[in-house]
Amino acid sequence: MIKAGAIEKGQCLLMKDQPYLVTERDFVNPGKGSAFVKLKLKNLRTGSTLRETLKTADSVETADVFDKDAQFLYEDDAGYHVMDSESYEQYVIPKEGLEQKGRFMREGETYRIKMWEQDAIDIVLPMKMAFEVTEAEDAIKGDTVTGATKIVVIETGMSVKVPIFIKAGEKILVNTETAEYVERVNE
Amino acid sequence: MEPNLARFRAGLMRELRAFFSDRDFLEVETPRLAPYLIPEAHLEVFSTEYLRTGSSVPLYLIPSPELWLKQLIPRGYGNLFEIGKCFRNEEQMGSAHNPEFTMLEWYMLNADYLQSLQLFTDLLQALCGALADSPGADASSLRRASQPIETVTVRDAVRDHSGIDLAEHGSDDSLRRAAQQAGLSIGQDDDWNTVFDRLMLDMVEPHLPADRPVALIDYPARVSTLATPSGANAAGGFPSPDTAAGGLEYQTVERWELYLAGLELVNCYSEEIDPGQIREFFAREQQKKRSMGRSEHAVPPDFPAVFEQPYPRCSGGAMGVDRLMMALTGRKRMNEVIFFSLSDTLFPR
Repeated sequence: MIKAGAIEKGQCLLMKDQPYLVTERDFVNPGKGSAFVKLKLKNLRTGSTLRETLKTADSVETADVFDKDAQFLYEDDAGYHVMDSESYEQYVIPKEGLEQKGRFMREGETYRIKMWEQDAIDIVLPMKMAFEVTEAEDAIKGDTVTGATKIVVIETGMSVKVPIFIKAGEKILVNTETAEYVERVNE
Repeated sequence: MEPNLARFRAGLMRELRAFFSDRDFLEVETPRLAPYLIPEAHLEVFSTEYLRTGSSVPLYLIPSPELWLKQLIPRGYGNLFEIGKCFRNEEQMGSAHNPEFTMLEWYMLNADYLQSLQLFTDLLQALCGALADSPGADASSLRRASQPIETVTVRDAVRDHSGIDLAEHGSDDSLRRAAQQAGLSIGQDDDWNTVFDRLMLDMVEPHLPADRPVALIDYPARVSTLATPSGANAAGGFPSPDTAAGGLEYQTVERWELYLAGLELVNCYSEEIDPGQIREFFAREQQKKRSMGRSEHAVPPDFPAVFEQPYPRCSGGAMGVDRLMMALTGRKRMNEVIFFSLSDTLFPR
């Protein structure tokens, strides 16, 4: 338990039996009232957002959330199946809120996952990841307009908007949060 | 602080002083260190000590200059204003808080809170006009600040945004249940004042018009302050906040708070000048302070007696100057408009 006044951004809290990440925190002092802290929280299981106002003197429970490495095995209706790289224990991470991340994951590859008590609840992807372009139309000859773009498909099946000069077989760097093209990877 | 903002700030300080001086307010400078403070339950203070040979005297950094200015009023200086640093302790470092901040406090004699509101309206107009061409000026922020001030009673604002009529919920329990029904998560031990604060923070403030200044007026008497009960000046009666706490009748005090650009900027009263009421306020706040576990400090022993001599009716207002800087320059974080915010100094990035 900690005092709400001591809550920091980036901390994990247990509220209504759910693990939440503190994404925004600000203090408010109404004219002649006690001090409050206003929080914006992200549910680590569902990705949904919660806004909460607490008295700074209130006690809140922290959620024991930690990272570990796990190999992504496969995906089915139950979720993303992963295996702890050290203990070989298997977990299923529910898909809710993680759909975009799922589109960037390659079977067999190892990722950081977030654990809350005994459950795997989230996948932490690097901000930028490199992918091979598997499908791309050829650039139309003579189309030299600066900033012209086209849609290509990367190895995981995800579509990404890229500059017109990108060809199938090339590798590109993609921002995993915005799903936007960053740059071409030259090997 | 960007150089342009520093120039804007210097201009703002100049214009604030010019505005009050031109209207016959005397600028005064009072001590930052005091051996005692007006007790305010919700304020935590900074303590230090004065060392003498063989002994020491506890001293406190003032959370507002009210202690001094109210003693000056009966001494015949006329209208007063002061611009200076004030200090509030505890976890108040955020986008709109720095433990050390600049406050403008004014006292207008033979005036009530609505006359102070008119004065503040004129002040905003004057500042926006004078600073329009200053370096660092933000045209849209100045335009917003120079719109006519919208005035809404607290009761109407709460009713409009939450559907709750404060006058119908006199008891802790009743207001708690109404707030829960309106969708707020309220603790079972939260008292009327806490629930009221939550309604204001979560349901009223986020929905106040963002394109002009808004004054919320006529606060519930249950919020303990040194403001006079509504109509007390006219009727001469002083219903005590304790009677109001009984919850049978909704009573208000002559107080307004001004919001601009999402910031709570000014707090203003028709000042309580009845010594008996001031003694009761002291006792109430000291008791609350103890029950909340706040650090103890001495209170000025003769302060209520100051009001036993002939004391003019007056209105006092206090404004956060750093927040005004934020509102006039369109900045969202206080550390952009002050030099060396404490959080930046303590936790360099």
